[in-house]
Amino acid sequence: MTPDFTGTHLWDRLCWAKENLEPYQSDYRVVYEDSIDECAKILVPDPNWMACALQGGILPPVWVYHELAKDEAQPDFKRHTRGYLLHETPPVGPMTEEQAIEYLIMKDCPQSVWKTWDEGNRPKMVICKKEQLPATREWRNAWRISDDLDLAA
Amino acid sequence: MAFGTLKADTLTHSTAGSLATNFVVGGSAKGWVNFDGSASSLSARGSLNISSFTDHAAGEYTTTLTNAFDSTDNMAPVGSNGNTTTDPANAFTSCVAVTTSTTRHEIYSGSNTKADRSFVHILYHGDLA
Repeated sequence: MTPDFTGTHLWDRLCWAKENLEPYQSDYRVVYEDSIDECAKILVPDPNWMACALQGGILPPVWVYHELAKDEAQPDFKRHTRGYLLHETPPVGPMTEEQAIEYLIMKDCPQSVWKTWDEGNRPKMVICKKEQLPATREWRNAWRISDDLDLAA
Repeated sequence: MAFGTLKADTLTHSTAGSLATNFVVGGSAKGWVNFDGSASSLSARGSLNISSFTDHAAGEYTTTLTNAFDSTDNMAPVGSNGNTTTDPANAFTSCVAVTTSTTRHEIYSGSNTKADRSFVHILYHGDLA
Protein backbone atom coordinates (compact mmCIF):
# COMPACT_ATOMS: atom_id res chain seq x y z
CA MET A 1 0.00 0.00 0.00
CA THR A 2 1.41 3.36 -1.00
CA PRO A 3 1.46 5.93 1.83
CA ASP A 4 -0.43 9.15 1.24
CA PHE A 5 2.30 11.14 -0.47
CA THR A 6 0.28 14.30 -0.98
CA GLY A 7 2.70 17.21 -0.64
CA THR A 8 5.70 14.92 -0.08
CA HIS A 9 8.91 15.79 -1.93
CA LEU A 10 9.27 13.57 -4.99
CA TRP A 11 12.76 12.55 -3.86
CA ASP A 12 11.34 11.16 -0.61
CA ARG A 13 8.74 9.21 -2.59
CA LEU A 14 11.44 7.71 -4.80
CA CYS A 15 13.48 6.71 -1.74
CA TRP A 16 10.41 5.03 -0.26
CA ALA A 17 9.83 3.18 -3.54
CA LYS A 18 13.45 2.06 -3.71
CA GLU A 19 13.15 0.54 -0.26
CA ASN A 20 9.69 -0.97 -0.57
CA LEU A 21 8.99 -1.92 -4.20
CA GLU A 22 10.46 -4.72 -6.28
CA PRO A 23 12.04 -3.37 -9.51
CA TYR A 24 10.08 -4.33 -12.61
CA GLN A 25 12.05 -5.20 -15.77
CA SER A 26 9.82 -4.34 -18.71
CA ASP A 27 10.33 -6.13 -22.01
CA TYR A 28 9.08 -3.08 -23.91
CA ARG A 29 11.51 -0.84 -25.78
CA VAL A 30 10.81 2.38 -27.68
CA VAL A 31 12.75 2.72 -30.91
CA TYR A 32 12.80 6.18 -32.47
CA GLU A 33 14.60 8.25 -35.06
CA ASP A 34 14.98 12.01 -34.57
CA SER A 35 17.57 12.68 -37.26
CA ILE A 36 17.97 11.25 -40.73
CA ASP A 37 21.74 11.37 -40.23
CA GLU A 38 21.76 9.23 -37.11
CA CYS A 39 20.94 5.62 -36.32
CA ALA A 40 17.82 4.62 -34.40
CA LYS A 41 17.74 5.28 -30.66
CA ILE A 42 16.40 2.84 -28.10
CA LEU A 43 14.65 4.08 -24.96
CA VAL A 44 14.74 1.63 -22.06
CA PRO A 45 12.43 2.05 -19.04
CA ASP A 46 14.18 1.98 -15.69
CA PRO A 47 13.01 -0.95 -13.51
CA ASN A 48 12.60 1.16 -10.35
CA TRP A 49 10.65 3.81 -12.26
CA MET A 50 8.42 1.07 -13.73
CA ALA A 51 7.72 -0.20 -10.22
CA CYS A 52 6.62 3.32 -9.22
CA ALA A 53 4.37 3.62 -12.27
CA LEU A 54 2.70 0.27 -11.67
CA GLN A 55 2.29 0.93 -7.95
CA GLY A 56 0.66 4.35 -8.31
CA GLY A 57 0.60 7.27 -5.89
CA ILE A 58 4.28 8.16 -6.43
CA LEU A 59 4.90 9.84 -9.81
CA PRO A 60 3.57 13.29 -10.74
CA PRO A 61 1.33 13.65 -13.81
CA VAL A 62 3.29 13.91 -17.05
CA TRP A 63 2.07 17.46 -17.68
CA VAL A 64 4.24 18.58 -14.77
CA TYR A 65 7.34 17.57 -16.74
CA HIS A 66 6.05 19.41 -19.80
CA GLU A 67 5.57 22.59 -17.75
CA LEU A 68 9.12 22.37 -16.39
CA ALA A 69 10.45 21.72 -19.91
CA LYS A 70 8.63 24.86 -21.11
CA ASP A 71 10.30 26.87 -18.37
CA GLU A 72 13.68 25.46 -19.25
CA ALA A 73 13.22 26.30 -22.92
CA GLN A 74 12.98 30.01 -22.14
CA PRO A 75 16.10 31.89 -23.28
CA ASP A 76 16.52 33.58 -19.89
CA PHE A 77 16.15 30.34 -17.90
CA LYS A 78 18.59 30.13 -15.01
CA ARG A 79 17.02 27.68 -12.58
CA HIS A 80 13.67 26.06 -11.91
CA THR A 81 11.30 28.19 -9.88
CA ARG A 82 8.34 25.83 -10.23
CA GLY A 83 9.95 22.67 -8.88
CA TYR A 84 7.09 22.57 -6.39
CA LEU A 85 4.96 21.16 -9.20
CA LEU A 86 6.91 17.90 -8.88
CA HIS A 87 6.22 17.69 -5.17
CA GLU A 88 2.86 19.32 -4.59
CA THR A 89 0.82 18.10 -7.56
CA PRO A 90 -1.22 15.04 -6.52
CA PRO A 91 0.53 11.91 -7.85
CA VAL A 92 -1.05 9.76 -10.55
CA GLY A 93 -2.66 6.43 -9.75
CA PRO A 94 -1.48 2.97 -10.77
CA MET A 95 -0.81 2.39 -14.46
CA THR A 96 -0.75 -0.74 -16.58
CA GLU A 97 2.60 -1.56 -18.15
CA GLU A 98 1.37 -0.21 -21.48
CA GLN A 99 0.11 3.02 -19.92
CA ALA A 100 3.45 3.44 -18.18
CA ILE A 101 5.30 3.14 -21.49
CA GLU A 102 3.01 5.76 -23.04
CA TYR A 103 3.67 8.09 -20.08
CA LEU A 104 7.41 7.49 -20.43
CA ILE A 105 7.34 8.28 -24.14
CA MET A 106 5.67 11.61 -23.41
CA LYS A 107 8.16 12.30 -20.62
CA ASP A 108 11.49 11.15 -22.08
CA CYS A 109 11.21 11.02 -25.89
CA PRO A 110 11.60 14.26 -27.86
CA GLN A 111 8.19 15.86 -28.44
CA SER A 112 9.13 16.29 -32.10
CA VAL A 113 9.12 12.50 -32.33
CA TRP A 114 6.07 11.37 -30.36
CA LYS A 115 3.75 14.15 -31.48
CA THR A 116 4.27 13.33 -35.15
CA TRP A 117 5.42 9.72 -34.98
CA ASP A 118 3.23 8.57 -37.88
CA GLU A 119 3.52 11.61 -40.14
CA GLY A 120 5.77 11.50 -43.18
CA ASN A 121 6.80 8.60 -45.39
CA ARG A 122 7.73 6.23 -42.57
CA PRO A 123 7.14 5.94 -38.84
CA LYS A 124 9.61 7.76 -36.60
CA MET A 125 8.82 5.69 -33.54
CA VAL A 126 7.97 2.07 -32.77
CA ILE A 127 7.20 0.29 -29.50
CA CYS A 128 8.52 -3.26 -29.57
CA LYS A 129 9.65 -6.08 -27.32
CA LYS A 130 13.36 -6.34 -26.62
CA GLU A 131 13.46 -9.70 -28.41
CA GLN A 132 12.64 -7.87 -31.64
CA LEU A 133 15.89 -5.88 -31.53
CA PRO A 134 19.00 -7.24 -33.29
CA ALA A 135 20.63 -9.97 -31.24
CA THR A 136 24.06 -8.33 -31.13
CA ARG A 137 25.41 -4.77 -31.30
CA GLU A 138 27.92 -5.55 -34.05
CA TRP A 139 26.26 -3.12 -36.48
CA ARG A 140 24.75 -0.86 -33.80
CA ASN A 141 25.50 2.39 -35.62
CA ALA A 142 23.54 1.18 -38.66
CA TRP A 143 20.30 0.27 -36.87
CA ARG A 144 17.22 1.86 -38.48
CA ILE A 145 13.48 1.33 -38.19
CA SER A 146 12.48 -1.13 -40.87
CA ASP A 147 10.66 0.19 -43.94
CA ASP A 148 8.69 -3.05 -44.03
CA LEU A 149 6.76 -2.51 -40.80
CA ASP A 150 3.17 -3.68 -40.81
CA LEU A 151 1.69 -0.93 -38.63
CA ALA A 152 -1.65 -2.68 -38.44
CA ALA A 153 -0.03 -5.67 -36.73
CA MET B 1 4.03 11.34 5.68
CA ALA B 2 3.00 7.90 6.92
CA PHE B 3 6.46 6.79 8.08
CA GLY B 4 8.59 8.23 10.87
CA THR B 5 10.45 11.52 10.58
CA LEU B 6 13.53 12.56 12.52
CA LYS B 7 14.17 16.30 12.41
CA ALA B 8 17.55 17.65 13.41
CA ASP B 9 19.81 20.48 12.35
CA THR B 10 23.00 19.03 13.80
CA LEU B 11 24.57 15.61 14.26
CA THR B 12 27.07 15.42 17.11
CA HIS B 13 29.62 12.64 17.63
CA SER B 14 30.77 11.86 21.19
CA THR B 15 34.36 12.87 20.40
CA ALA B 16 34.68 13.82 16.74
CA GLY B 17 32.63 17.01 16.70
CA SER B 18 29.44 18.13 15.01
CA LEU B 19 28.05 18.28 11.52
CA ALA B 20 25.12 20.33 10.24
CA THR B 21 22.54 18.04 8.60
CA ASN B 22 22.26 20.33 5.59
CA PHE B 23 25.77 19.15 4.68
CA VAL B 24 24.47 15.57 4.76
CA VAL B 25 21.44 16.40 2.61
CA GLY B 26 23.37 18.59 0.19
CA GLY B 27 26.29 16.21 -0.10
CA SER B 28 24.34 13.01 -0.69
CA ALA B 29 24.13 11.54 -4.17
CA LYS B 30 20.82 12.45 -5.83
CA GLY B 31 20.79 9.64 -8.35
CA TRP B 32 22.78 6.75 -9.78
CA VAL B 33 22.56 3.97 -12.31
CA ASN B 34 24.59 0.88 -13.16
CA PHE B 35 23.73 -0.61 -16.54
CA ASP B 36 25.01 -3.04 -19.15
CA GLY B 37 25.89 -0.96 -22.20
CA SER B 38 27.05 -3.92 -24.25
CA ALA B 39 23.78 -5.86 -24.36
CA SER B 40 21.62 -5.75 -27.47
CA SER B 41 19.00 -4.07 -25.34
CA LEU B 42 20.51 -2.21 -22.42
CA SER B 43 19.38 -3.23 -18.96
CA ALA B 44 19.83 -1.58 -15.58
CA ARG B 45 21.30 -3.58 -12.71
CA GLY B 46 20.37 -0.93 -10.17
CA SER B 47 19.41 2.73 -10.02
CA LEU B 48 17.88 5.58 -8.07
CA ASN B 49 15.96 8.59 -9.46
CA ILE B 50 16.25 7.39 -13.08
CA SER B 51 13.18 7.12 -15.33
CA SER B 52 14.86 5.79 -18.46
CA PHE B 53 18.09 5.50 -20.34
CA THR B 54 18.52 5.77 -24.07
CA ASP B 55 20.96 3.93 -26.29
CA HIS B 56 21.98 6.42 -29.00
CA ALA B 57 24.73 4.44 -30.72
CA ALA B 58 27.84 2.49 -29.82
CA GLY B 59 29.25 4.06 -26.66
CA GLU B 60 26.64 6.84 -26.54
CA TYR B 61 23.86 6.94 -23.97
CA THR B 62 21.58 9.39 -22.19
CA THR B 63 19.93 8.96 -18.83
CA THR B 64 16.80 10.84 -17.77
CA LEU B 65 15.92 11.66 -14.19
CA THR B 66 12.58 11.43 -12.41
CA ASN B 67 13.30 14.34 -10.04
CA ALA B 68 15.16 16.99 -12.04
CA PHE B 69 17.89 19.22 -10.70
CA ASP B 70 17.20 22.91 -10.21
CA SER B 71 19.69 24.00 -12.89
CA THR B 72 22.40 22.52 -15.06
CA ASP B 73 24.90 24.66 -13.13
CA ASN B 74 23.92 22.90 -9.91
CA MET B 75 24.26 19.31 -11.10
CA ALA B 76 27.38 17.22 -11.44
CA PRO B 77 27.07 13.92 -13.29
CA VAL B 78 30.14 11.69 -13.27
CA GLY B 79 30.72 8.31 -14.86
CA SER B 80 32.96 5.29 -14.98
CA ASN B 81 32.96 2.04 -16.91
CA GLY B 82 34.40 -1.45 -17.03
CA ASN B 83 34.54 -4.61 -19.11
CA THR B 84 33.82 -6.94 -16.22
CA THR B 85 33.60 -6.67 -12.45
CA THR B 86 37.34 -7.34 -12.28
CA ASP B 87 38.51 -5.49 -15.40
CA PRO B 88 38.26 -1.70 -15.43
CA ALA B 89 38.24 -0.80 -19.10
CA ASN B 90 41.00 1.17 -20.78
CA ALA B 91 38.40 3.82 -21.51
CA PHE B 92 36.89 6.93 -19.99
CA THR B 93 33.31 8.12 -19.64
CA SER B 94 32.52 11.75 -20.41
CA CYS B 95 29.30 13.23 -18.99
CA VAL B 96 27.47 16.44 -19.69
CA ALA B 97 24.19 17.85 -18.39
CA VAL B 98 22.04 18.48 -21.47
CA THR B 99 19.07 19.64 -19.42
CA THR B 100 18.18 19.62 -15.72
CA SER B 101 16.81 16.11 -16.15
CA THR B 102 18.87 14.61 -18.97
CA THR B 103 22.55 13.81 -19.15
CA ARG B 104 24.57 12.52 -22.07
CA HIS B 105 27.39 10.01 -21.64
CA GLU B 106 30.01 8.90 -24.12
CA ILE B 107 32.57 6.19 -23.58
CA TYR B 108 35.89 6.49 -25.43
CA SER B 109 38.25 3.56 -25.67
CA GLY B 110 42.03 3.83 -25.58
CA SER B 111 42.04 4.37 -29.35
CA ASN B 112 39.70 7.36 -28.87
CA THR B 113 36.75 5.67 -30.54
CA LYS B 114 33.34 5.31 -28.90
CA ALA B 115 32.82 1.85 -27.49
CA ASP B 116 30.21 -0.11 -25.54
CA ARG B 117 31.07 -1.37 -22.09
CA SER B 118 29.42 -4.06 -19.97
CA PHE B 119 29.48 -1.91 -16.87
CA VAL B 120 28.46 1.74 -17.12
CA HIS B 121 28.07 3.67 -13.87
CA ILE B 122 26.67 7.18 -13.60
CA LEU B 123 26.44 9.15 -10.36
CA TYR B 124 24.67 12.47 -9.77
CA HIS B 125 25.38 15.13 -7.20
CA GLY B 126 23.81 18.57 -6.95
CA ASP B 127 20.67 20.41 -5.88
CA LEU B 128 17.28 19.01 -6.81
CA ALA B 129 14.43 21.14 -8.17
